[in-house]
This record gives sequence, structure tokens and C-alpha cells, in this order.
Amino acid sequence: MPNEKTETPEPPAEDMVARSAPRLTFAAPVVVPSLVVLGLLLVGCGLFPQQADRFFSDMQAWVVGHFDWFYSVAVTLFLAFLVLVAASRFGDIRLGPDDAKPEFSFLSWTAMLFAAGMGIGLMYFGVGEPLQHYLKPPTALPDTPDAAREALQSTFFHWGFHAWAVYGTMGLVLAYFGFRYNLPLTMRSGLYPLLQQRINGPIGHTVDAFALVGTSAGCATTRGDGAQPRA
Amino acid sequence: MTDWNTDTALFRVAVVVVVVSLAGLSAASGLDKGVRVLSEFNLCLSFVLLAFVIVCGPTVHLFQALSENVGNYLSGLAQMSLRTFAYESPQEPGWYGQWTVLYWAWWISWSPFVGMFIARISRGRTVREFIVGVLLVPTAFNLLWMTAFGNSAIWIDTHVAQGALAQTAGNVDALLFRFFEYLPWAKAVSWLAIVLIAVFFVTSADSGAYVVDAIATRGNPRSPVWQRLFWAAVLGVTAAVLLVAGGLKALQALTLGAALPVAAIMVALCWGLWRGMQADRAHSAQELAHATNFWSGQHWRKRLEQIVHQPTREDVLRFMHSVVLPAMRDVAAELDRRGVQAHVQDDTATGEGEGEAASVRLTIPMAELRDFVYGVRPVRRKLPGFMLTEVAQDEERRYVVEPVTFFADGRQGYDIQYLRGEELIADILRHYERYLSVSADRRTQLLNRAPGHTDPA
Repeated sequence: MPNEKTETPEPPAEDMVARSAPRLTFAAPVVVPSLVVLGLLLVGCGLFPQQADRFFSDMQAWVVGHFDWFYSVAVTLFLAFLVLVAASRFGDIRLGPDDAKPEFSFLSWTAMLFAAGMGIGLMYFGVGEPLQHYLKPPTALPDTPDAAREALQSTFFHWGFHAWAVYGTMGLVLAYFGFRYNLPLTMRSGLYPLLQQRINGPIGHTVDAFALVGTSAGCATTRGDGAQPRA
Repeated sequence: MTDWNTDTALFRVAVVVVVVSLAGLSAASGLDKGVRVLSEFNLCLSFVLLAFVIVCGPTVHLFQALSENVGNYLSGLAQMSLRTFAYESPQEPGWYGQWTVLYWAWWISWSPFVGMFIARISRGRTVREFIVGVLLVPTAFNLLWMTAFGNSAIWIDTHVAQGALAQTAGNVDALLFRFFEYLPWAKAVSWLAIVLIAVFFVTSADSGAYVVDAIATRGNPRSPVWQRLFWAAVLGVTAAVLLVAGGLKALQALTLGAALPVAAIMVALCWGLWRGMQADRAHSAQELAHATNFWSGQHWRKRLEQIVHQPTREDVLRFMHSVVLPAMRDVAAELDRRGVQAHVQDDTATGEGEGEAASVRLTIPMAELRDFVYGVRPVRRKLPGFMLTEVAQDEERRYVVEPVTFFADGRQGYDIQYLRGEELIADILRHYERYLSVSADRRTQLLNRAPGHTDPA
């Protein structure tokens, strides 16, 4: 791919796989379906933005309307789970062989954590979220000291332990099975205790393709959002 | 704050192209250099911005607020965590769905990406280090940040701007820059913020390309650079096409809706992780067999033969008769000669089946204390099918039988099938020595005077 930097309108999915040159390390059963789905989404959302928006927004609203409780319970569960694991003897297990040494210094490590996780949101919502809660608080009266207190409390809640419990849970699962069980560092490896050798089959490919499309869509929309005018 | 016409599609696409190119450049230089240098640069820059806001904002109020915010947060943590507004809607209808649930969906939909990335950089840390680091460090920074910006904004709105700042609250992009206008050097600070945001974009895009490539190659650590550039381009094209044609909102809604199955998968992942760590602990907790303490290189062929052989009940009884009993009788005779009463009991003939019924034991009685007992009994242990080496596959041979020790004080016994006569005597003497030490220790008296676990009922 000498020209992969140029902005071609469509990712050349078939072309990619046809050239299975030795310099290619893509796993075709993951990449091909992912690119096809991503391409279809792109065409769908690009050609019919209104319809797609309405359809997916309705879907999202339905999910929020019916499963809001599940989100709260699940995310709290992740936090409790991590605290439990850290407090238990499992906390002594090293992510890697027993003699593995960390690759990055503690400072670089934390710096990398921020930048990847939360950088952009922090910039926008640092001012925005508390102020919006202050004007429209969940329980207090708007525009009062109570509202200010609740605004910051809510903001802390949304940006505090829970957010990092979600990231931490996923990260721990990946790191643990990746470095300790020596499985590939992808989401399917986390299902190893459930599926065992079947993670190498269609279920595993599907899970990874799902993660790939999800990550691409997440990155692209955030970046797109950020490129919206702000003046 | 700029005079450029930022509304044109061309401008937005240009932004995407610049970001992608920088991300590609950073990605091409490898994770160590590209992302790390940019991340550290940005961390320094955000500390500068944070310090600026704290110093130029209502400094004392911010520290007071920080303390109170942390207190409110921690005290409300359990209640907020599980609050679903089941009994009454929030005062602002939809608040729960539009904020909390949406945030949770947002974090979850990003978790394969961020999770993969933080996993990648955490090899070699312990699980506890990882959890404490990931939960505490970014959270502490976020809380400090939110206090500095949020409380400053509210303070400025009520004390300086008389509500003018809040009027822009609906537009978070513009709001940040309106906020800076109430601080000194607004122009310079705004530019600093823009640089910060731009670098955040580049590092996110860079990490995004990195993570997507890792998924696409099933975690192959040696993937060629062009593949990462390819993914950077795919992400860029997706963003650019949607920016020009519209549909960003749709894709975003899809991503958030898709968080539900991911959350369900993550619950399964937690369970799997627990099972995995249980297996891990069980594996590393397995110590070298007690009976191998005595081994030197002598008789190694015989020992290897014993290791490979899967003993039956007959083998064990033969061992007990030919090795254990003579050894115990030697010890008892020697003790008698020195005026210590001791006797050996052989129940193998009378006892049926496994357990104490078919045991042999050496007992050294002691007045007022529980006796010293060193006993050996055959114990059956089930083997998984694939471990069975010997021909017989009938029900009987799903088990191996091992001679296992037992003691009057109920301590865990162990397999002694590899011991030779003198080694067994050494083992008995070690336990007898320990018994005497413990008996002399006043701290253990309470337990020593209780009936032993091997006493006849």
C-alpha cells in the first residue's frame, strides 16, 4: 500500500486482503468483515444522514429507556469487582511472568493513561458540565448554592472512579490474559475461561470484529466532533 | 475566537487531514516515542493550564470547594452509584438518561479502545498496582481539574459575570473560550487550550490506530508500520466523509447503543477473569512435594520410576509394610532403649478401604499433653482421564492411591511415597523435634492439652 496516506473515499477492503504479502499481519477473518461493516455504516450514514440519525437515535433512546438500571448496576459492579480484586491475594499476581519488569516509568505510565482516555472531554466538560448541572440540577433548586454543590458532586461522580473502573476492568482483562496467559492481546482472549479453544473460532472473530468496528466508530466520531467549529 | 470561517466543510476536512497526518507521523515512530513524547508534553501543558486557572481564578474558594467536593463525592458515592430515580423523576426530566447513563454508555463504548491501550502499557505491573494506578491517579487529576474549571466557572458566573457566562452553557465548545475571557491573557490562554486539544486529538487518533491495528492483527506485536498508517487513514476517512455528508450523530448514537452488549460481555469478562486468577493462584501455590526435601541425586532412576508409576492400593500397602513399619519400629526401639515409651500400631490387616482404618502409626504418649502421633494411611486421589498412563481403564483405576501422613494435631498430611527408610526416620524425627518444641512453648499450651485428632473416639 504505497498510497495509504492519501484520502481515498472508501477503504479498499478486498484489495487489502488480496495482497497477502509477507509484510501483512492482518487476521483476515477479523479485518474483512470489519471493513465491510464499517464501509456499509459509512455509506448508510453518509448517504442517508437524517434517516440513519433517527433510526440509531431511536435505538439508543430505547436502550436508555429500558436498560438505564443495568448500566448503573453493571458499572458499579465493575468498580466493586476491581476493589475486591485489588484487596484480595489476586492483587499480587503480575501482569506477565513473575519476573517481568514494567516497561514505562510510573510518570510516563500515568501520563499515557490520561491522554488516551479522557483528554479531550476534560477540556470541554471541565467548564461545561458543572455549569450545566448548576443551571439544571437533578434534585436541588437551580442557581442556588445547593445546585452548585450538587453540580460538582454529579460531575465528580461521572468523571471519577466509575469511569476508570470501566476502563480498568477491560484493561485488566486484556492485560491479564494477554500477558499472564500469553493469549493474543484482544478482547476475545478475555472469553478464554468461558469458551476455551473456541475463542479461535467464529465467536472469537465476531467479538474482535465488534471491538474493531466499535473502536473505529468511537474514534472517528470523537474526532469528527472535535473538528466541528468552535469559535 | 478566530476569524477563520470554520463552518466550511473544507476547513473541517483540513482539520481532520492535519490530525490524521500528525497521528500517522506519531504512529510511525512507534508507541515508545510518538505517543509517549506527545502524552508527556500534553500532561505538562495541562498542568500549566490547571495552575493558571487555579492561580488566576478564585484560588482560596477553589481549595475550599475541592475539599468539600471530595467529601460530598465520597459520602454520596454508594447512593449515587446505584441511583436510578425509580421513585421520582429528577427535577430536570431526563437528567439521569442524558447524563449518567450516557456517560456510562460512553465510557463502555470506549473501553475496548482505552482498555487495550492501558493493557498494552502495563505489562510487568502487578494486578494491584494496575488497579490502584488506574483508579486513583486519573481520578485524582480529574477531580482537581473539574474543581478548578467548574467551580471557577460557577464563581465567575455568580460573582463577576452576573449570569452572562451561564447563557453560553448549552454550547460546551464555545463556553470554554468564553470562560477564558474572564481570566487574564485570554488570547494566549485560548491558544494554549487549542494546542492542548489538538495534541489530545493527535494522541487519541494515534492510539486509536495503534489499538485497531492490534485487534486487526490479533495482537501481533511485530506489525509493519504501514498498517498503522492504514488504520489512521481509515479513521480519518470515516471522520471526513461523515463530516462532509453528515451522519456523525447517527454513528455516535449507534456507538452508544452498542454499549449495552459490550456491558453484558464485560460482566462475563469479570467472571472469566476471576476464574482465570483462581486457576493462576492454584497453579503458583503448588509447592514442591514435601517428600522431595530429602532428595539428593542418589537413587534417581528408582525415583523416576516411582514418579512415572501410578500406584495402586496394593503398592501402597506393600510400601507401608516394607518401609514405613520397619522405620517406625526402629524409632520406637531406639526410644525405648533411651527410656521413652513409644509404640507402633498396624491397622492395615483389620482396616478395610481407605483412611485411618488401614493406617499404621507411631505413638509417643505424653502425660497431660496430647500424644505425638506420626501416622501413614492410603489415600485415594482422582486423576483426570488424560493423566492415566496405565492400561487398566476400569473404574478402579480412575484413581491413584498414595501413602499420606497424618498427625495428632490435625495438620495437613502429605504424600511420602518416595521416601526411603532412613529418610522416613529423618522425617519422623523432624516432626518429633517440632512436637517437643511446641510442647515446651507455653503459648501453645491451650491447644496442646486438648484431645488429639487421632485419639480413639
